[in-house]
Amino acid sequence: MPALVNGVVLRLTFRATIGRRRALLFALPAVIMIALSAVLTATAHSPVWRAEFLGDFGFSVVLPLTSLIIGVSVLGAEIDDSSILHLLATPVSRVSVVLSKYLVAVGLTFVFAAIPEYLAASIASGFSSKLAYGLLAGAAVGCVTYNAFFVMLSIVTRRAVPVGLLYLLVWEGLLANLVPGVRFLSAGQYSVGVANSIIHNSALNAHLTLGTALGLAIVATVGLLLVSSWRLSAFSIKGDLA
Amino acid sequence: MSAEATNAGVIHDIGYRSYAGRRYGRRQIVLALTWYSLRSAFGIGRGVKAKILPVITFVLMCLPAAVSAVQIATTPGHHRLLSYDVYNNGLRIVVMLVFIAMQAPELVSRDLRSHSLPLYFARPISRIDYPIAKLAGFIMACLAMIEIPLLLLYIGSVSQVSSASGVWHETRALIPGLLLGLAWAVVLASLSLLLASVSGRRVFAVGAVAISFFLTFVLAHLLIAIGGQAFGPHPVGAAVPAPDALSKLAGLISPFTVLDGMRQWLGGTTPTFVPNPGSYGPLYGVMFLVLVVIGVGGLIVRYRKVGVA
Repeated sequence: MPALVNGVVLRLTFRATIGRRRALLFALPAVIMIALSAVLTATAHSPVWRAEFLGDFGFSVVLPLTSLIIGVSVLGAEIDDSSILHLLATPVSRVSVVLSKYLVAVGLTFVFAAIPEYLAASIASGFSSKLAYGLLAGAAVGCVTYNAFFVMLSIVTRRAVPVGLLYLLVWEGLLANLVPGVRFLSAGQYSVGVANSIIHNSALNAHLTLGTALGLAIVATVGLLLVSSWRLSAFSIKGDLA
Repeated sequence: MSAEATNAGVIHDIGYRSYAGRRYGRRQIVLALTWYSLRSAFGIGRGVKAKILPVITFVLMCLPAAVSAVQIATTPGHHRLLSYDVYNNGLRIVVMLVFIAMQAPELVSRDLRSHSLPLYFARPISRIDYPIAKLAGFIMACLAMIEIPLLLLYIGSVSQVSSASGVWHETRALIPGLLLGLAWAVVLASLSLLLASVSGRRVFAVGAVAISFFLTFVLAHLLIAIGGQAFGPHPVGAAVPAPDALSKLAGLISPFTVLDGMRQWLGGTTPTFVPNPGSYGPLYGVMFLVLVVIGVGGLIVRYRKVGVA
């Protein structure tokens, strides 16, 4: 049984993702969120805004967008310029390529989205408050599921960013709030569900209990990673799509 | 410039085939480019795949108008529920966001990617013509997306009105809606083309447009909601903003809410999630002009500096 995670792939992916000018983009939503929560903490007369702003802006904008940019680029950037061939030609199993890339994506998203979420909540209500821990836990679940989806997307389609944005806007933004069944298949609901089990605040719009949210998140993540490994095993280079 | 260019050898004589026909000038080139841009915004002249998204967004946009027409026609005494100036606010914002994010790059990114700009500028057009033609084409595309559903709504309503005064009433309500649609089209088209022209990679162009419009919109939406709660009717401790000022000013963040705030300042009465800006109204008017200047001016500057390579 070969190692499930390859250290070299891990290191190279980390450097390739963080080393570009684009890396500054990752931090932008997080910086906006922290700055605004600082301003609101200083000026607001009542604390009702906290769960609403941090939950909504954090879980429907900062977390998914950061995951999208990072999750699509860890593997998608290499597929885009065909340099993935060099990696696939080495005797590293496809499963461990997917897992290594995925781990880097989760780690970076955690740093650029979950920790800022915790910091913003800490500024608003203290470092060991329920709000801060709850949002951190929810955001961590979000990192895990969103990235599994976006890594899968970058293998399945060359247009991962447009498709991912449509998914966020239509599926997570519209349908998850309107169609009751969709919330069982929504990464956003999983993370909000976990956060809500700690914070207990109706402003989070959580519809799943802790057990359901966690269980479904794990099933979804494992399933998506399996699909990714399977699609990457059957990966073939098509002609230049320009 | 125009007359001289018309006479110049635009169709290049490279030795083995001469051209004696009539030479169309700059005006014809700009018109052709505008028409081509309008077509490519809807994927016309390209494969089926390029048409999927424009068709879906357009149908979605027309849906409320169609439903309204059916309701009015089948239920006696049923009145038009949608207003011409707001239409279905949430649907319009989401659909237009998706439309401009996916289609603006089709117009400008592909030319950057395939390095066809030098070919355009080898023709007798000036630097300003290319962005203006693209902008005109995309404004028309956005107009089609916004105004055609309004016209459907109008036809559906008018067809059941019997008196002339009823028709006049509907028409008078429609005109501000159409003008507001024009404002939407100009702001959205110019800003999205400017953002899309940052990169020749379609992926980055789509991301640039979608992320900036989406992020600012959610931010404005949330701050409006929070402003009402957090700065509500509490006595003011003379802090930075007066009560509710945040709600009224937060709309300035996003183009969509700027357009809606301007509508209310100009006298629109249909309520939306954007509160009436009241005395801050002129700010929304100014912000609208600023956005137009940024969009149009930015595009012109962008293509003055773009390298011919």
